[in-house]
Amino acid sequence: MEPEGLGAAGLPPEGPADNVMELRLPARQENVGVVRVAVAAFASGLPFTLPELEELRVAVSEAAGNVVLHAYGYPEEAAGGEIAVRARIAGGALTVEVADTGRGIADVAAARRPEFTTSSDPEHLGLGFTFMEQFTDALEVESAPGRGTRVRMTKRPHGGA
Amino acid sequence: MELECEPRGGRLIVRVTGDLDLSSAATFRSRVDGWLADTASRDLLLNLRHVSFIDSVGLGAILGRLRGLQRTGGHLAIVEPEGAVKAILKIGGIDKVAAVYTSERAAVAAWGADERGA
Ligand SMILES: Nc1ncnc2c1ncn2[C@@H]1O[C@H](COP(=O)(O)OP(=O)(O)OP(=O)(O)O)[C@@H](O)[C@H]1O
Ligand SMILES: [Mg+2]
Repeated sequence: MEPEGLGAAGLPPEGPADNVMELRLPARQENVGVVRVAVAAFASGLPFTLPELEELRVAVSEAAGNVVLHAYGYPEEAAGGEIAVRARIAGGALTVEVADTGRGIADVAAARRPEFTTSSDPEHLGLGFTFMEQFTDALEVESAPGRGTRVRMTKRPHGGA
Repeated sequence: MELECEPRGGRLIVRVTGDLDLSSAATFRSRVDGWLADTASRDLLLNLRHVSFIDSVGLGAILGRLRGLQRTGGHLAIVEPEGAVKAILKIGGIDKVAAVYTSERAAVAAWGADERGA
């Protein structure tokens, strides 16, 4: 019997299979750069322009940076915590999920507002979510206090045009 | 990230190359603050022309230096980069709080004009 959904040539009938990349890394600041480089390389499977790839690098870095800074009680308790990244190219769009199993966000709507921060460092502006929103086509944030946070961003070449 | 510093006539020029982000912001803060103190400079020109990447933490580090300068009546001037880095500076409102130039030459010329005006 043929595997479900596969056509005669072993390909799904509706075109090439989705491309998926998964990464799991310790939640350390030096790994934020690893995540952004990996996702940008993966994204080059779609016809993004260079400025769009730059925007993507910012959005992904903000999501991964938030895991490092906020999810696990940086820097003391961060040991052991992970950044989980899943990127998928399907239907001409890139979807990137950045997840952690850290402390979660009590009020996601408040956290997404520009200049909202729980950081005690006066130089943290609270603009991370604003950049994710500005530089992608869709941003979803799911979070459960004590369980973790998942940020999902979708970006299409040429803003979907 | 690489930093280069050039004191010039009571002012400080700092040239930044590479990524100004979560992992380099602390170095940026301490070195720029150290140079400002060591050279007793009141004004800072940050040349960001060769910054390839900036995130919210990097932007925060720039605005943090601005706040320090403002406390002593100093000024911040920026030589702006291109692309997403420029867009981030704009969203962060840097053009409202600092003088933004397209080249270091133009920024230094504006300093000179200030002096002649004073
Ligand atoms: N993965 C996460 N886990 C726990 N809390 C988070 C997470 N991501 C964001 N937050 C919360 O949401 C707030 C807003 O995040 P945002 O990235 O917009 O700003 P920031 O990180 O505080 O500052 P900036 O990004 O400008 O340096 C954070 O201060 C933090 O309280
Ligand atoms: Mg952030």
